[in-house]
Amino acid sequence: MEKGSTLVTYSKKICLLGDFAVGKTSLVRRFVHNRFDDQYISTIGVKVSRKTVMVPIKDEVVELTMMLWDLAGSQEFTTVTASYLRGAAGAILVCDLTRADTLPGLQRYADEITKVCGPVKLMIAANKLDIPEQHQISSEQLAEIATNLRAPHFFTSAKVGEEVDLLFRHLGTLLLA
Amino acid sequence: MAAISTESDNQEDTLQLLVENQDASLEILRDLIFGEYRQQVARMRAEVSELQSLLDGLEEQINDKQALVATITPVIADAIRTNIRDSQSEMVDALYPIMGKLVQRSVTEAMRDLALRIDYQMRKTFNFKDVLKRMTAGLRGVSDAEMTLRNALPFQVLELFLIHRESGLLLLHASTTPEETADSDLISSMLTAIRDFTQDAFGRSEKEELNQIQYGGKGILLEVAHLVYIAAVVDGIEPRNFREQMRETMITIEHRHTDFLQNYDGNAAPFAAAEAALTNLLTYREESV
Repeated sequence: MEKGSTLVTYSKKICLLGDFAVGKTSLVRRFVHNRFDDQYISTIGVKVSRKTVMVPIKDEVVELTMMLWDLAGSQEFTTVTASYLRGAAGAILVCDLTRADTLPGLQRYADEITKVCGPVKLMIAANKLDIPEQHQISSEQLAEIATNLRAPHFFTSAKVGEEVDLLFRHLGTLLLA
Repeated sequence: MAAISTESDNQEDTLQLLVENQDASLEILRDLIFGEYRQQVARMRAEVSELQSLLDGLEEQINDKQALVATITPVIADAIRTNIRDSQSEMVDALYPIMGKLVQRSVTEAMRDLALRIDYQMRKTFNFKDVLKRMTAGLRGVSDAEMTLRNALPFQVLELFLIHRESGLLLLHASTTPEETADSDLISSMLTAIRDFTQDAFGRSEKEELNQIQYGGKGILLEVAHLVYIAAVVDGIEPRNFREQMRETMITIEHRHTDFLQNYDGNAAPFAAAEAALTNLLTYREESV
């Protein structure tokens, strides 16, 4: 929907994927416009929030509204979750730096969304940067999986807000590139 | 002479001492006699002062309406709750005259509205389509009166969402109160999530779709096409042709934008041209069909 003569606007569906309690909801909660209660995640398995960013493309600025589908984290993909992936333009794969077991899931989530939507833009958010003494995932491990998935990775902290805004802005740029 | 003076001074001092001792004794005597009363008076003064400050506080609360409401509301609410629970019959007896009047007034208003609608239906000029409808209805056992009554039931479209079926992204939105619909894109996505959830949980077949959500007197009517769907928030019971009209509008838009919708990139600008069609649906009245 165009507003005025110069500002072009786009909307894209983005899914947040990751194991249970890696901090997906916290990442979303800190930087987006919420209207619905988090309880939706445990009732129907998803809650949608909105984040609007201005993305410079060549010599113009585009307004991008990201509709963020925060999906309930689970060990197994169910058919319900798969249907929530349809029509996504990108995904943020989230792991918890303090739990090594949340790293292998990233590949699985990437495979699932690619299976449902075809090639989409992927980003990795390694969350809980603010508690380094408990980290179980190294930068090298993360870099390796990011290379395999061809996805840029960010070390984030939903608690203090570190790099979260940057993560969304970078994803915005990728989606409109 | 000096000796006489010294003696006189000593006498004065002694007298002074005697007077002072006498005062002290009197004070002790007073304490013995009135001590208890004095303590009581002091206590009473303290209590009065405390009461005064309490009164000041209460006065302040009474003058501050918000504070007063906050203070008494929980007490009153609890009292009402307890009273309703413990003496239901008495409460019903007490409220009946008021509730009865309210209900009566509300029903009267609704009936007056219905009567006006029926009058309007009856006064409408002769229309071959209407006659045909009445004849068809008659053949199916529906009387003229019943049909007139059905046609007179109130119905209003409050909001319309044209939504990309796969992604849940909002393509177009129309509302009777545009200023209150800032989150229409979020609603579209959540509605899509609910549709997906329902289909996955209850309807495995492609043909089975969630087509209505009812809440109180309002409802959300859903009509689904291959690439888009329309959600209409309505008040009342929809007329017979409304869903058909929804489908027609939706299919027309979909056909016009098929290529674009198949590879939808998130830019909904091209759908602005379809706004008029959606607005027509928003102002839908059966007589306009």
